[in-house]
Amino acid sequence: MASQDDNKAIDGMIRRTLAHDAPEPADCPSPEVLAAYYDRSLDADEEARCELHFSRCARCREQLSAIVRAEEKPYLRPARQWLLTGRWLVPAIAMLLIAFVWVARRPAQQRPAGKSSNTPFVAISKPEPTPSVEGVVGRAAPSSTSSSTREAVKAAPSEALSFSAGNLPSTATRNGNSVEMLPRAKRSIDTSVVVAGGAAGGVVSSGAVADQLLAKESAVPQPPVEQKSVTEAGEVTANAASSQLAPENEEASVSNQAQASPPPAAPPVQRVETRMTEVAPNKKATAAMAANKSSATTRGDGNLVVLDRVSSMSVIKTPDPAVLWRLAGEGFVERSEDSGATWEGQSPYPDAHFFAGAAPTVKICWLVGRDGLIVLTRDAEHWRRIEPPVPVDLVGVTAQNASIAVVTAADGRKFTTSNGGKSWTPPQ
Amino acid sequence: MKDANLFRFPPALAAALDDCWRRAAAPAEWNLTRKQFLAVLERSAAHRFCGSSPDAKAIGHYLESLHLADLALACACSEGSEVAWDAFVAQYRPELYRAARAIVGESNARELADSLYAELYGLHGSDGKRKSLFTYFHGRSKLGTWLRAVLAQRHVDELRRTRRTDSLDELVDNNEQAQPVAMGTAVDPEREKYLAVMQAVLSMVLDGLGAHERLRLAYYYVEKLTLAEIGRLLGEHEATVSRRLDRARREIRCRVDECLRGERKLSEAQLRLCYEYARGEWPFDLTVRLRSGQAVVPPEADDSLFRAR
Repeated sequence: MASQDDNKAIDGMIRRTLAHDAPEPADCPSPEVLAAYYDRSLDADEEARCELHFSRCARCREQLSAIVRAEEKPYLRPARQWLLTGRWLVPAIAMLLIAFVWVARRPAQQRPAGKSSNTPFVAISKPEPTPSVEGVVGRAAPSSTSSSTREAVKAAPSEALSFSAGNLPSTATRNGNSVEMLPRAKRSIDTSVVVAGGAAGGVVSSGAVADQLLAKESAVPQPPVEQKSVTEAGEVTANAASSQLAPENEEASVSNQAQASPPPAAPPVQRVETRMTEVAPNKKATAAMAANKSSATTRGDGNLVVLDRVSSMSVIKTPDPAVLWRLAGEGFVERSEDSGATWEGQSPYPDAHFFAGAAPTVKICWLVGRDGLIVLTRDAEHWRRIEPPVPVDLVGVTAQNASIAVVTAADGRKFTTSNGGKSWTPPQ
Repeated sequence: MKDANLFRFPPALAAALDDCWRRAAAPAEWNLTRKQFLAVLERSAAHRFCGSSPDAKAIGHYLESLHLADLALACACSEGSEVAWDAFVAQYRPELYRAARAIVGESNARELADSLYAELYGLHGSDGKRKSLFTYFHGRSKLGTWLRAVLAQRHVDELRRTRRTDSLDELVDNNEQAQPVAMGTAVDPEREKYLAVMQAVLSMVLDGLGAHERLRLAYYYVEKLTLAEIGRLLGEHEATVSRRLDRARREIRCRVDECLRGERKLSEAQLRLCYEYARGEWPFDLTVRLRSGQAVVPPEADDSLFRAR
């Protein structure tokens, strides 16, 4: 293989040899012929003869080189001339269409700032609970719904919305005041549920909003988010198991709906387990809802939330009031670090359907959902799926940290883990 | 110049001549007559076919290849039409100056262009008749190309004249600088012989190339034209020029090696020395000596140099 140096040597020698082609002026063609050769106007014989001469005549080559250098170069368009050609339109339009489709398919992530704190809850009906399971959301008798709603809601201030009836309640009452329920399409406010009053650590809340309803305050001043509780039917609160999680004295106690006696005045709930049951896709829930027209139920301590209709925007609180999680629906979860002014979305698990969550710290978040789905993040970014205790819908979760948590199945059973989900303790 | 009266168009070309006059489309304000234009055509054909007797068909093909509009303009200017001259100035003056700048640079462009400009307008000869440089334009090319060719010829001739004056001094300086290569280092006394062998073989290989290929190499290595400019001259795409240049160099290298090994009986070590010396300074212009026939010890006559190795 010829080396580069040898090639350079050859190049130099070629240049030296050809540069000394001795011209023979007598044979040099006139500028007329040179020009005709340049314009390719000579016939084949003439051109061949000329080339033979040029190949040996440095003078003629120099003239031809000067002619080609003096030729006006093709017009170079100004920098912006390309705008006038229109050739850029097609790719630009294609890019715009792609961007439009991408934006249109993105789930709404932004909510107007400031409204989340004023958004009321929407209570939704719950499916018929299993009576034997403690803490399971019971089927609230229609007659008991409204009253227990009012009683159960703890005014801290907390106001409960109780729905009158129907799968798609059009009205709800909050402390006796009617609240207009808006269809989903007009939803523009955030609703959050519960409560956890008080102490930090392990505060759990989950928001639930009827998936096709919005609560719009008409006359009642909007209560603070943390104090709101919306129930429609049933109740789920922390049971004895969850009470174990409370580091502080005050712990939520949830009484079954079946326990008719007014619940004792409970201290501010630190951990509240919420249960949400899916509405539309769940035939059982649908049937239950149909049967329980006014099944909104709240606990007496007001910290209970039972949500049968999965909202697509359910807020999960953390010990830091500025840091919030939110179930955005369609498998998306959102996180805010500025009290809900802005949200950043994540998709913890493909094709997921979350029902509830718990955020014991600003970074740790447990999410539970359909078909035993449990996911956990320790850094607010990376999610890990946890093997469920049972492959059924999990509608509630409370957590103390990334290791200790209690999940609640749709049938009311609770399962506890103390090792981050590696093993679960069945209900006793 | 060939006397145009010696050339007459055959009668069979009457229609072709009418067509030429129609295609020339000389504006009436130029005051160019058909007779004057035909005279120019005859002069052009005479210049083309001097020494030969073309048939009507060949003449017809030639007439069709002419740039008749430019020829009419040149003819009108040559005949002294001020309107035609104004038209020429308006169309070609900027191009003339631009070409002059491209050829000789900004400093001398104006001078070169103005001198040509004056000659194109016409200088009065001893007989009182104005003689224009347009007389030498026969329509075989575009008028703009012809103007550039005239500029190029004048520039190159001037350059060569100047170069011829300095080249001898440069040659002496080079010879003085080439002795020795470095202080304290031994110069191989056979270096010149190796270089002479290399040069002779390379010259032979280059002589064996076709005219088109040799022209391509000369444009690239000597004139240092760009690939696009070479393609413009040779009627090739620049990618084709690049590909063929590379192939030509490889073939030249192969032939040189074959010749050195085969005909010159050089060993590999000697071959390496040839290339090594070729990369360095050339002690003198071997090519000039080869061309002028000066004594260069032919390798064949002194093969003891190579036999010993």
